[in-house]
Amino acid sequence: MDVKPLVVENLTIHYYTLEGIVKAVRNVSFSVEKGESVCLVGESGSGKSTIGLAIVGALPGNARIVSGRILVNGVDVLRLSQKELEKIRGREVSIIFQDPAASFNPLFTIGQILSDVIKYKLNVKDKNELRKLALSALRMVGLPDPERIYNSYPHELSGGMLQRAAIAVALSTKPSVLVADEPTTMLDVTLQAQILDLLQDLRRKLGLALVFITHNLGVAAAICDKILVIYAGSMVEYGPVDEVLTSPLHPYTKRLLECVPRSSARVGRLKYIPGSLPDLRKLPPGCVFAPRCSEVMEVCKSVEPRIVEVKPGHMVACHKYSR
Amino acid sequence: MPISREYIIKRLILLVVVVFGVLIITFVITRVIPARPELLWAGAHPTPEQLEKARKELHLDEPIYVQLYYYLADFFRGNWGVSWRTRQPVLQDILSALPATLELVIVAFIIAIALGVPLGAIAALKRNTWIDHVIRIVSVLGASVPVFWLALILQLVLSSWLGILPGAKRVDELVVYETGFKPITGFILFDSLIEGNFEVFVNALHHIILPAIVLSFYPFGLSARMTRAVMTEVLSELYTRSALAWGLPRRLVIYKYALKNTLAPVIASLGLSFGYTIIGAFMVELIFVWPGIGLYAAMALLSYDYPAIMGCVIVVAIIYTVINMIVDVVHAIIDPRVKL
Repeated sequence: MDVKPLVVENLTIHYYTLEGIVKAVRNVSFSVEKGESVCLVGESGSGKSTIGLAIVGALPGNARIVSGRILVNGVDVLRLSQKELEKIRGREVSIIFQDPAASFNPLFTIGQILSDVIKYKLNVKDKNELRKLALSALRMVGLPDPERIYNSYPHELSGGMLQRAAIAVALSTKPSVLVADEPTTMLDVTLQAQILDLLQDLRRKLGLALVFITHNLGVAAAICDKILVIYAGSMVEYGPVDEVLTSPLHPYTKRLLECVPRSSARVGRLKYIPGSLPDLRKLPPGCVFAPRCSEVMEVCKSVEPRIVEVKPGHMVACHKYSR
Repeated sequence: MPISREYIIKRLILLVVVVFGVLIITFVITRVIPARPELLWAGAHPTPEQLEKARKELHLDEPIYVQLYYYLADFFRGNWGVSWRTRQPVLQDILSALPATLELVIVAFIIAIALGVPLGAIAALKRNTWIDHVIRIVSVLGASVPVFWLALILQLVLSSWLGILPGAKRVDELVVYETGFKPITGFILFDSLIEGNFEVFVNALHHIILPAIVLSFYPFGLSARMTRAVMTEVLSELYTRSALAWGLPRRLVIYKYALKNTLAPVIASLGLSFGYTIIGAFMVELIFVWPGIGLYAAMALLSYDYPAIMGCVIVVAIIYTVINMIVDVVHAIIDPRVKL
């Protein structure tokens, strides 16, 4: 049997802050096949980026992975030493971020960063070989005039070009898993489509396992095979993208879908979900979504719902579907 | 080079404006002080007639703006006047004293940067550990201990009590005579090195250690604090996170990438601290009998030697402006976003 490139099991992550322990991610599980893409969808602050950072082992210093496993090509990266982890990071898993302009050190050219990544990850010593690999990585992401980009500083390039360059850096080492943390949020719509196309294209060509993090359901619909809806650090629904988007089960997913503004239906006010995310330091007992849920029942306020498989491959954490 | 011609022209104009402004301000201040410099010019026990003659020679009987006119007219002809104390042309006095001061300040800055930047970087990496606290205490002390106190105490302990280091002068005259040393540029360390005169070099090095250490305390403290602050910020930047997430080794991210981001602001702050260091040099030179511009200026101040005071202030102003120009250029070389 083929080993899955990425398996996340019961991942729980806490942030230790002066104001208390923030339970940012709780019991999140999902897996990604070769060439498959899974979307993590949720509001700002739902913990989706934290999961992405945990996968590449780049969590900030005050975060702790309390429990769970992250298997990259069958190896539990959480059990590795710092040194072994450094080997995998950027080599087997890599990441691109939301703000491409802030992802690049302003004092170094794209070429310097790109060739350093190739040099240290692929152990290429020869200067000409290094340059050749770097230029071919830039060519792979469809950047015109790679020579010029190679010698450019970040401030000399546009956001779209920088995001392509970031993809080139992340994929220059041929990783099997790529985490894309809201890679199109800062770009305008036409560029957004180009970058999504590029990612789709590269995913097929390289057989990448893609973890795509977004708050935009439209983007998720365009790029994903499976979708994982996260609310306040808990997974509420997980399933094939068509099913989740056309026949959502969880009340939160339903509300979220209603909130997507449609250009064709300009009637009435924009919809939103009343209330806001709960305080992750003082979680309410029971279902985290209960205070905002329109279909709330008595049991929701005291008992935390378990995630159950309602249809094959379609799971939901809601008391409506228990038993 | 990312430096435009406009920048150089702008800077030269600024230099002229600064020198002109400093000239006028110091001129007015020195003339307004209720002192009688003619007493110095006229020599010991002058008669009233001699005093009157001295006042005429120094134009002290004229209104202040006429005096300013005379001064400016001479100044821009390269005649900075004759020191009323040494009776030598001021420009000549200053040019012969300047290398001693520059040598001292350069050595002090080398010590300050060589210790301050690495310690600041270590403090940033070991944030909130005892190492960080020790470095903080040392650097805050360095930046806040008064230089004259430090100079006197170190001179007393290291030179007077322990006798490890000489407590005065640049070099032993005896060594200079015996080896037939002839300075070329006036920078003794440099001159003795290129002449291959190691005896003088070692002797001068021995002499410069103590005053240079005293003078380096302030820029050392400043550079350590600045390096720690900037480095801490750089390490929390998104580009540092992405460099690590892309798998670059931590060592490389810190010492190649983050350090470069840290250097530009640190160098800028050191450039600004140069003025303060020159003031420090005045005290240090006075205490260590260091024959530089600080000692010269201090003596000039104590004897109301107007032309010499003016000359010193102007030279310091020019050096300050030039240093900050160099800082700008260095910044532009480090940071490609800066266009001069």
